[in-house]
This record gives sequence, C-alpha cells and structure tokens, in this order.
Amino acid sequence: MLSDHMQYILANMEDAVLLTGSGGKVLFANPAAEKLFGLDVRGRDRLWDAIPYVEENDAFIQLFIDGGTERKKSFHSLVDYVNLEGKRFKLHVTLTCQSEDDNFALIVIHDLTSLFKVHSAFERYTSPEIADYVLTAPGGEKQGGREADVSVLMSDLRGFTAMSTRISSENLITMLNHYFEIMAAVIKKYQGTIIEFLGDGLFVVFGAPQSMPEHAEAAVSCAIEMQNAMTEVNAWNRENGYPDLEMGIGINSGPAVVGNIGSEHKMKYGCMGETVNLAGRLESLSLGGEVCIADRTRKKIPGEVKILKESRFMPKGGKEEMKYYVVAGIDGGMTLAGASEKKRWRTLPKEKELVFFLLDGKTVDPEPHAGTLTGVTEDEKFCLLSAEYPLQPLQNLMLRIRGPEAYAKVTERGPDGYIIGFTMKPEGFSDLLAAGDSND
Amino acid sequence: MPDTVFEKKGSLLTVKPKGRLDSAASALLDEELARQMDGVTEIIMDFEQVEYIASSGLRVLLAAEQKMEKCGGKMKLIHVNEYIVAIFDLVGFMDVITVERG
Repeated sequence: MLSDHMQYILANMEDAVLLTGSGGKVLFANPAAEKLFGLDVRGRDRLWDAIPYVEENDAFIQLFIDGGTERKKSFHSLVDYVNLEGKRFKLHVTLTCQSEDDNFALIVIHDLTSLFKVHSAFERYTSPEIADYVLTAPGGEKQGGREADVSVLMSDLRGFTAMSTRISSENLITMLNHYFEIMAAVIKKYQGTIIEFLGDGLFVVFGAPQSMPEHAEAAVSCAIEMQNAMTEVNAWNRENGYPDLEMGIGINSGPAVVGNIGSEHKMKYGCMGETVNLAGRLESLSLGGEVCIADRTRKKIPGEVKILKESRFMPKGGKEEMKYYVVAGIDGGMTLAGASEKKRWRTLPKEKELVFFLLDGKTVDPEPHAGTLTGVTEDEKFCLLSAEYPLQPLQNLMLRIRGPEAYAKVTERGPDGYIIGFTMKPEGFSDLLAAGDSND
Repeated sequence: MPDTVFEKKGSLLTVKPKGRLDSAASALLDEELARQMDGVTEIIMDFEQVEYIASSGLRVLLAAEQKMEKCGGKMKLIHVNEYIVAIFDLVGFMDVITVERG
C-alpha cells in the first residue's frame, strides 16, 4: 500500500528527487528529476554527465562538498544551474548525505526558473521601484491611490517626430532605445520612478511610490545630468549615422494622486493631477537642451539654483500667470555642461528671406507670413528674425527657406527683431545660411 | 594560502598545496600554476597537507588536467586523504583525474 502511494507521489510531484551514489551514479531519479537533467532521453547514468564543471555551477557543486563534509546534515541553497546545452535554471536544491560510510546523496530540487523569469519581466515592464512596491508594500497590489507630495519630470525629444519620416522604423526604435537606456540609468541614479514612456518622451516621478523629502532637488539634478548625457547619446548617434537629438525637460512640484489605476485585471501605477499637467506644459515651453522648472520646484530646493532665464506662462484655464525658470544647475551640485548666458551672434553674409507659418500645437496655420533672417548664433541654435507680423514669445513657427522646413520657437523680442530658437533644423541648414545669394 | 610549494625539474612540475583550498586560495593556485606551466608535460600534485577543497578548487584541478591532456602529458594527485577522496567521489571527480590514495 505505502509503496503504491509512494510511487504515485514520486511520479507525480513537481520537485525533482534523486539519490546518487559513488561517482554520482544515479541510483534513483523521479520523472521530474529525469526531465530536469535529461536523464531519460540522453541515457546518462551519472549526474555529473548532466552538470558541467563550470563556474556558474560552483554553488550547486559546493552543496555536494558541504554535504560530504558534514554528514547527516541537510544543506540547501538557491543556485544557478547551467546544463550541457547551455540552458540556464534557478534551482532551490536541498542535499543530504545521510551515511558516514557510503557516498549517497539525497537531493530534492524545486525549479524556480519560471518564477524568476516572471519577476524579471515584471520589473522590466514596469520599473524596479514599482515592481518592488507592488510586491512588498502592504496593499501594494491593490487598486487605489493616495495623495503624495512629488516632483514630476517630463522630457521630450525635439524633432523626433519630424525625423521619423526620414528614417526607417527599425533605426528609429534602435536610436530611441539607446536614448532610453542612457536616460533610465540616470533616472535610476536619482531614484526617480519612470511612470511611462510617452512616445519619444519620459514621464518620471520623484517621491512615489517611496516618499522622498528632497524630491525637487533630485528631479532637477536628474534633469541636468540627463541633458549632459545627451552628449553621449549624440556621439552614439553620429557613430551610427543618425542625426543629433535635442531634449527639452519640464519639472513641477506639488501634490499628485499616485497609485494603482485601472481594473482588477489590468492595472498600472499612475500619477495624475494638475501638478502633472503643468509639468507637461513646462516641458512644452522648453527649448532643446533646456530644463524648465516651476517656481514651486525652485522653492523646494534648499540650495541656490542657477537661473539662466526667468519667465511666466498662463496655465490653461488659469487666472494667474505662473513663474518658471530655465536653469543651469544647483550650486554645489550638478551643472549643465556648456551652460552660458550669453549668445554669440554673427551676421549672415546675406539676409535670408523666408516664409513662416504659425503653429498652434501641432496644427499649422496655412496663412504665410514674410520674414527675414538677419543673424545667427555661433552654435546655430538661435536666429534673429525680422518680421512685420506681431509675434509673441513662446509662439511656435514653421519656417520655409527655399524648400526645406525648419521649426522654431520665439524666445523674445529684441531691438533688432525676434530671437527664435530652433526646435528642428533640416539637413544642410548650415549651408543654406552660409550661402551668398537669397534668390527665391 | 601561503607557501604552496612548487618544484620544477625539466618537464615535471610538483605542486604541494597546503591547508584549505577555498575560493581565494584556489584563485592564487590557479595563477601560480599558469606561471609555472611552460614546458611542463607532467604534474604531480602532492595533497598530503590539503585539508579541504572547495568547488572552485576542483575547477583549478580540472583545468590543469585538461591542459596536460591537450599536450599529451599527464597529471596525478598523490597522498590524498580519505576525506578528500570521498569528496572527489561524490562530485564524480574520480572519473576525471588520477588519484593515488595516501
């Protein structure tokens, strides 16, 4: 009776059970063990025919040494196992050498490989912080939110959408992934939580799920370092024949609702509220290479923030204008590489006549306006535009100079015209500017 | 693991490790063996003073054995105590290296 039941148990249990003897000869193996070590199909009768003596299997082999050294004691460990075919496993192995005189080893193994795969996939599809929160915080896996004091960082790649029409999809994804890889590393350094990849942008929160008193400082430092990291991104781009990219970042601080949003069957960890909307707005106000922070964020940073420019904007549906700053860094902390307040201008060999169109969001107003470019900065990021049409700062424009189109944002009005900053320049733009004639 | 004794006579290398061959000691043994390996076609490892060997130590022995096989040479362990022999037996090493019990 007992024997039948034992047979049943050993034949049907998921765990692998083995008894090995001298030389690792397999004296008994249940079906699960045969399957794990390929004993059934490959006619192996020594366990060591299935476990190569490689570094990855050190911990596994060590269990035999421990068991052989201290008999009648059970040793167990979570070990890696790589088989002769190179397949990797994560196993929980328990081993006992009960006999003093014979080299019998009783081995029981629980295969945790798929569990580790799921956990690793879970971490990768959300983020380690969110995965950790959901798995370990009490109520972490439940629906529902709470209000938290956070800083929200929104970033966006300039000109990416326009570029996407000129590059193959595979190359686009490769470039984007490389960019995300670099930025994710910086964000991790400052303990930010990536809530979402929004197309070519990032939605990052500091101060949730884990609270962080210095979330404002972390967010700004992170943003500065992300901007500095664009050098690395663009170096890779150039090496691989991709165009340079520019990134704009907006940061706002304040209360937000954070938590598991969705239904029981499909949830995500989200962050919502006016604080988030305004961060997005600030990002849209930024030029490539800039970090725009709300006044609320600046106020929360104990140190001195290096301000390049101070300005105001009217929040949608708001009654009062809000202050914001373009920043270069924090005193005693991170600084934007190459941050300088002065623009160095040079006049163009010949003024360039052009036509420009107003942009409202992504929609182009079809009415053309005439203008002339009279100057350009040394880094070609800004131009001086003369036009009769009364332009407002922050107005987005599409410019057409003899065919190629460029995108720019009006930054300010000066005595000599409007200073516009480019958000997207077509190829060969430098040559256009340098050209002597301006025949239209 | 201090004072592992190495003795080279022509193409014969005699190695006498001492004490516990844990992962640190094994790494050192591996390094030193690599330095002494030139022109060697026979290795004798005297295990008289070896009390213990960890899994990383086993791999060092295996690597040395494989090197000898490759150049048509040979390796053997001598003066191996019963405990170490038992360990070798458990991990299937008796089929992999030549052991003279001691």
